[in-house]
Amino acid sequence: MDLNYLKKLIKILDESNINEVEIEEEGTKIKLRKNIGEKNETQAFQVFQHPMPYSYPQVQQVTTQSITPDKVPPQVEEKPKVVEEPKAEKKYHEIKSPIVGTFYRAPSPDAEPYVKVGDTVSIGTVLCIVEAMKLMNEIESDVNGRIAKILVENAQPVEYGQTLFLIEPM
Amino acid sequence: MKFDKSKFLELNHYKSFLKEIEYFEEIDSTNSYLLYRRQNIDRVLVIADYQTAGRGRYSRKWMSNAYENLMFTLGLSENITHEILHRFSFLTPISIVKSIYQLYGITAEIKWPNDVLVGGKKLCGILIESVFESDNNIKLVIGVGINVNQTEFEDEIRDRTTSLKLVTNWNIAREELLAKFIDLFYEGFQLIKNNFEFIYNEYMKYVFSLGKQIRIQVGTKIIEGKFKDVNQKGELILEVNGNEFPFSSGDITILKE
Repeated sequence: MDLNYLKKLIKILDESNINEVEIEEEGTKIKLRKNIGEKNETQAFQVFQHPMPYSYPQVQQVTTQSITPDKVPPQVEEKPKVVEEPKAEKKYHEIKSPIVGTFYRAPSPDAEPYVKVGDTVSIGTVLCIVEAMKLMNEIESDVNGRIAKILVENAQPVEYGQTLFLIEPM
Repeated sequence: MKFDKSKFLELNHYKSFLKEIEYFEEIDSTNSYLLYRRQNIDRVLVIADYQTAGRGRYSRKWMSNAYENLMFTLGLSENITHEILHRFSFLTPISIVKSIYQLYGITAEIKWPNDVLVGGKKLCGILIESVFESDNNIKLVIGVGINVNQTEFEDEIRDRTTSLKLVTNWNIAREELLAKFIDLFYEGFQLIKNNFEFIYNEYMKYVFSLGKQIRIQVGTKIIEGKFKDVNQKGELILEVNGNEFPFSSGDITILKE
């Protein structure tokens, strides 16, 4: 990552309503945080309840597009307290979204979710559906393990490469 | 009358496109059949005269009388990458719209993302499903159900459903319709990777209710706004109070003007 890029990011962050940005690119992880009071923090937290480049009108108070640099969309995550260290997540296997779309935990609105936290899954177990333009993409587990965390709410938009599940391999 | 596979083969132009054609008088669902089968689904066409568990999106039922309609699934896997996946949601309804125009002179529209309507009523439903075994190994099944010769529909869907026979008063040869669809689909399929612009522009010609006020439902959320555009990613762009929001999925309803 070059210095100019970093400078640009800092400037963007400075001028925005965001107080924290985390970017991962080719193995390098950068976390930038503004030195601000608590009042601002709650405000920024509300804006990013949906960690997407876009979200639904109801939650769209401030447009998130304005903080997106031209090329690399930074992954803005909600981390109000920074309790969870990246170290702890290392032992988990990540299941990522293979496409841009809408995340569904169940095959239909009144059906049981495919998996819940704590469920044991094996290679080939269907975990969720990501839908784009009425194309239903079944996402399967590629490891044997236990569902440790589900990172996306039902019917929320997801990005390409966004982590959906954390699985503890067994 | 049963679907006549040999008649279909006779009418199909590009003989080399399909590797295998399977006909079932009755099956649970042609999509499910290919999804379970997993191996060797590329360019395999499965046709059924009756489905005992026909499905739409979110496991909604697809009801269809035996021998009257066209129900089939086309499997694809070679050279399918995640970047081009959604493009089949453009190509499939266009191929239907063009088929019925060329054969019967019927003008149809596409309701985003991919229902085909005639006179505002649903003629055809499409359910595309895919399984990612890895980024380079994607199985795609394209399921199509067209109301052809059925003229009686259940009460709950009667007002918003139509069939080719209801529109034309003719008995339609399903083999001819399928052969036309496969030909047009194949022509578009050759453009899908490098010439998508062409397919996209065709889609935009047929898209229904552009510029109108609509309501979109995603999960339990309902949002109203103006149907501004469909972008090349297939997202519907909704304008709400001067701001634009993209939707990659959802059910749309047209609001009264």
